[in-house]
Amino acid sequence: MVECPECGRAIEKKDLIEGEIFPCPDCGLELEVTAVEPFHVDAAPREAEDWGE
Amino acid sequence: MKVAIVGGSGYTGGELLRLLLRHPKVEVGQVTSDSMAGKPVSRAHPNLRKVTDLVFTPHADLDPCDLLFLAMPHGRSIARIPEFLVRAGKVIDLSSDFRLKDPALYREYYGVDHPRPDLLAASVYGLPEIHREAIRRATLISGPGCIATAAILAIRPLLKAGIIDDERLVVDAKTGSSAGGLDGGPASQHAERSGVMRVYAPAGHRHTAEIEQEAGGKIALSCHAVEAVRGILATCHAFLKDSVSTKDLWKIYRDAYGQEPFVRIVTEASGLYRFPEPKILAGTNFCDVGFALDAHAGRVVAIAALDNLMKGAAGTAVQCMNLVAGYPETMGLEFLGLHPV
Repeated sequence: MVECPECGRAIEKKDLIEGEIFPCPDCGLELEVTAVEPFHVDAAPREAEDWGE
Repeated sequence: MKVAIVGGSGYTGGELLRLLLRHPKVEVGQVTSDSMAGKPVSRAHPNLRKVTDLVFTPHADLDPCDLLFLAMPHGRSIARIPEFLVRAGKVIDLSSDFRLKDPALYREYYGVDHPRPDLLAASVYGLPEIHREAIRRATLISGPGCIATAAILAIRPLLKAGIIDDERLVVDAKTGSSAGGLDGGPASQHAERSGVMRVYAPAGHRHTAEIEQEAGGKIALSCHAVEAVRGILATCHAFLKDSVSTKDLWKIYRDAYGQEPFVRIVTEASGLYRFPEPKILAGTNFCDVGFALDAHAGRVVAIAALDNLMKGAAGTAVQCMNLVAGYPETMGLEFLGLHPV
């Protein structure tokens, strides 16, 4: 079990695979599985956006 | 459970009726209104056409029931509370009459002495997120104000955690037109309201006292009327005593609301709706609460959104009724809202 680097939500490994990108269920941050054994996630790289403004 | 609504021709009364008519454990026996006595309730609430045959009855014809909702304008039902308690045993009053515990504060914000200060101490402030156990045992429950509900739910966790300056708290509230009620006066005329972005209470709003009573701290509240029918958005500015991290804030709000059925933490890194927004909460009993850390200014921006007629009035009242009756707290309040809307 690891934590979301943004909000601290516990992230379970489940059947995630290395390189998979998924949103944190709480804060929505895009996370990337950087390793499976041991399980580790980081914030996924993202492009800047202006959120429509 | 047999219930009745006193003063059911206004917006809050209509919202109560909408919820109660579909509540699986409730029978609505009567809805009173002197001004509309004898007319079908669907005349005032057209969304209820073909749903009920109820007709408004005069206040004087109120029959005994198990629980009474009071949806009268502020100050109009205080004198009859003892009679209502005899008729029903349990009363949920959606007016502001019993929200403040301190009679001196009531005089300061309402300009008159409270006619029954003895009942202020006996009433319970009906916000389940704070007073759940007291509500279960209460006979007189006072429904919280809509702006107050949003502000309290946004800032109380920060105050309880002791991380912010409790003498310097700014609440900036935006509100839709229905919060002014059916008789909102000339300010609610279409010509005046359309396109509005109006500061209607830069200081001294009555909900200030409620927020301070229930959340703590010294509150600087400013209220704005905006172009919406339903909805409250409270943007609260709190200044940190010491630096904290976003993760610390998440823990504070999770500890406060992680188990709450109607408070959702909405602080998301992507998407169109990253922070609480009332638009998608219309008709629901949710209060969405979010936050952002402003390290530059040493500030936390705490945000809450709700539907003023639901979590800000009728929805919370039904939630309280569920607690009083021992029903599941979410019963009759399951609507998830609309998107797009």
